[in-house]
Amino acid sequence: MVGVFVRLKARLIANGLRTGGSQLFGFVVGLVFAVLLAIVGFASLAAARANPVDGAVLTSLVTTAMVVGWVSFPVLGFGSDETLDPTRLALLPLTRRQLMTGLLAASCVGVAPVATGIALAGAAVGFAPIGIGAVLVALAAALHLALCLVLSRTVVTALSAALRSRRGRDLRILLVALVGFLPQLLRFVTVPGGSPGDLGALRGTARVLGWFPSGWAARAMASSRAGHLGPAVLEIAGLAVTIGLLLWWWAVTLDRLNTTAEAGATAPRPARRAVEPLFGGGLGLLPRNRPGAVAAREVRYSWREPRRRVALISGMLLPFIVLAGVISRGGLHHRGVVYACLLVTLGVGNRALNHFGLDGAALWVHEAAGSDLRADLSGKNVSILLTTLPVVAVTGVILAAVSGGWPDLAVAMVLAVGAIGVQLGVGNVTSVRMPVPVPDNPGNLWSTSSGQGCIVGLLSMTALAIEGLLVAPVALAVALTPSTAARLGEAIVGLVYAGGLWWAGLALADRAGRNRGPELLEAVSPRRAA
Amino acid sequence: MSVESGTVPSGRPGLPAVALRGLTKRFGAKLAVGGISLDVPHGSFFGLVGPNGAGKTTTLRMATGLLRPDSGGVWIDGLDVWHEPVAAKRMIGVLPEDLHLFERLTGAELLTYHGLLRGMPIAVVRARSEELLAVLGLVDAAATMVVDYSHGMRKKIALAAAVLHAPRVLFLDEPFEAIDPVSARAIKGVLERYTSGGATVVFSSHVMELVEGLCDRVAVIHAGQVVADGSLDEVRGGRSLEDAFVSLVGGAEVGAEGLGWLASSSG
Repeated sequence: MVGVFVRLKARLIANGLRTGGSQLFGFVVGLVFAVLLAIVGFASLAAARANPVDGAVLTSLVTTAMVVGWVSFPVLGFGSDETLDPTRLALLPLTRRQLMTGLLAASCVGVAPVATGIALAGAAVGFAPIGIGAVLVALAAALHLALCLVLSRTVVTALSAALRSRRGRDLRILLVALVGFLPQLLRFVTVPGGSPGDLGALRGTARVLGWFPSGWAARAMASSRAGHLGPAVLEIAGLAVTIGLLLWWWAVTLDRLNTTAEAGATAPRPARRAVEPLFGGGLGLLPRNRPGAVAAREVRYSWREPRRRVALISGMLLPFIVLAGVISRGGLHHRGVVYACLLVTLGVGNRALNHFGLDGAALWVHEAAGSDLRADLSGKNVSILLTTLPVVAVTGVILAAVSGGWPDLAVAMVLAVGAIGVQLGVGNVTSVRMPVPVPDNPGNLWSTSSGQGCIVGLLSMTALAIEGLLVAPVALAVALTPSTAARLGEAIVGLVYAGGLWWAGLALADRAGRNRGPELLEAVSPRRAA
Repeated sequence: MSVESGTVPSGRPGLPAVALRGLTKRFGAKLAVGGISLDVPHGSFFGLVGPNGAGKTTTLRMATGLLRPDSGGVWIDGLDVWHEPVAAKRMIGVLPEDLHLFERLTGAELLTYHGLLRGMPIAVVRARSEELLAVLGLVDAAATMVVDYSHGMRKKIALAAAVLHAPRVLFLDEPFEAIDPVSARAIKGVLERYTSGGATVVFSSHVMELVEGLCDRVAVIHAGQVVADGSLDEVRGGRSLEDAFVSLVGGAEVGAEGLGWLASSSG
């Protein structure tokens, strides 16, 4: 049975590569990372030979990071490895023992387990003394790998129902995106401290990490090397007991998962009546017509639809990055800093580039009701204005408050509306001229259909360049004008100019898309079998 | 009653509710629909039957203006769907098979959205939505997002959205596919109420019992062609519709030969 599972996993990986496109890309990216991590891990563990104290700290950090990675990756990428979901195998006549050994064996196949193994092999260089201690170090490394595998399976099984539910999937998309966003945020937020080679500051952290089972292997290695065989044996025994307990827990959750029905995802929520459908929650001022309905739906979607929620939250985090950037450059006392709030509008360009791609196959609803691109695009544009302008305004007010640049706030706001208008105008044309389907695949981190990521990137850069050229005259004029009142005048002229560009974009899009509704629908729908 | 391909209906009185003429659609090398011509009389409950992959869905998508045909035309009550799309689409309601909806809206929001897209006054939309939600048993789910609906609930909310603007012709693609009996009865109830006022329903299915129970006219499609078209009795020819269907599309009967082991399985 173990052989069957191993072949299944190998076949799944191979077939994934054969489909090419995003899966292949994901695999290659994963491979590059795995090779890097294997090298870094191996080097960190091996470093203990030259410098036992710092090496022990590094080992503790690296082994803990391994466990964290083994737990978080499957949880965030659930669905990318089909053997992870035990309910797929629930109907096969397998005993629990067969299922568990099979799944564990499947876990050993792949890039990640090999990389982990290579990294742990560094312990042989870094820690192995002569004699019985060498056996203990090898045992600790082997048990640590086992801990990673078993813990990962156990957590995924325990969370399986939650991860498969719609809310779980939505949350995962958000977490994945935010994890990707984190480094950018940290780059601005972290204050540079001690020198990079100094591990002394991390000694406390390493000691705390050593209290948990994820750090016991590192402790056992250090003890073995130091010749403290008693503590080393105890730490290894503790690790073995932990693995045993995890196996027991995994067995129990597997049984429960495969024999109980899923909690009703469709259980109706208590009806919240008395709110007008679609226009509740602050959208009451929108007109009750087609553009108004589209705008209201888009605003709701910007929060309810996970991919757009990511865009919205990134948009909301952008001001903090701008603020951090301003503070770190010591620009707080410069009045012109208010204009930094315009950076927040930069996110609009990408959100507006492919309006209909985000609607996907549901676009038939618009087509069946009779195409009206002008109304639909206007509604979509209003929704972007409604979700962006408040963030720009708040950022502007904060920047004005800290820098005292109040007189320029009005100029900045007028410019912001203009900048959004220009980007919407360009976006309307690209949305109709170059619609791109956006696959709805939460298991795939690189969620563009095969071969189109590059086109989308090019399109996005070209649009940004065009928008830059269109905005440049106004930006230049405002930047070169000394008096605030004159700047306000120029900004208002710029707003009229931007309004004209927006209107032209809308008209161009309308003309390009007239009587092309079915083709637009076809272009944004996932490929259907004839 | 089938009409020669190429003749275009003209003159309003006596016009069919739906007229398809020489509809053709090719996907790459595969001919999905090869020149379908059909007339659907006013007030009829018209069944479009055929095996999987026969071209039913493609035909319905072309008839409702969602997929451009390679050649041929569609007229709804004399209005050309592909040349007067806005006026023609005002008269039709669509329930597609794949049920792609704006599913991050609640049921009530979805109906409001569909109504406003069609330019209906908000008060009418609100009144009709409440009535439809009540009749289809969706009042408790009105504030739940459609993405969390069961399959039957999705069919029901999609049907409500399709009839909201009281269209003259309703196109339903597999409306009873994978539906529980309670939801099916609710859908049938709405459809019967709808046709009693003289409206026309065109629906595709491969469940012959349903078609026999509901339809007065039937067209059998096979490999992109109409192989039979007429009243239910004409098409049946004294047999059950299922027998007539199988003989028309040439299905293989499972005979006594082969699979002997299946009969002797002892568990």
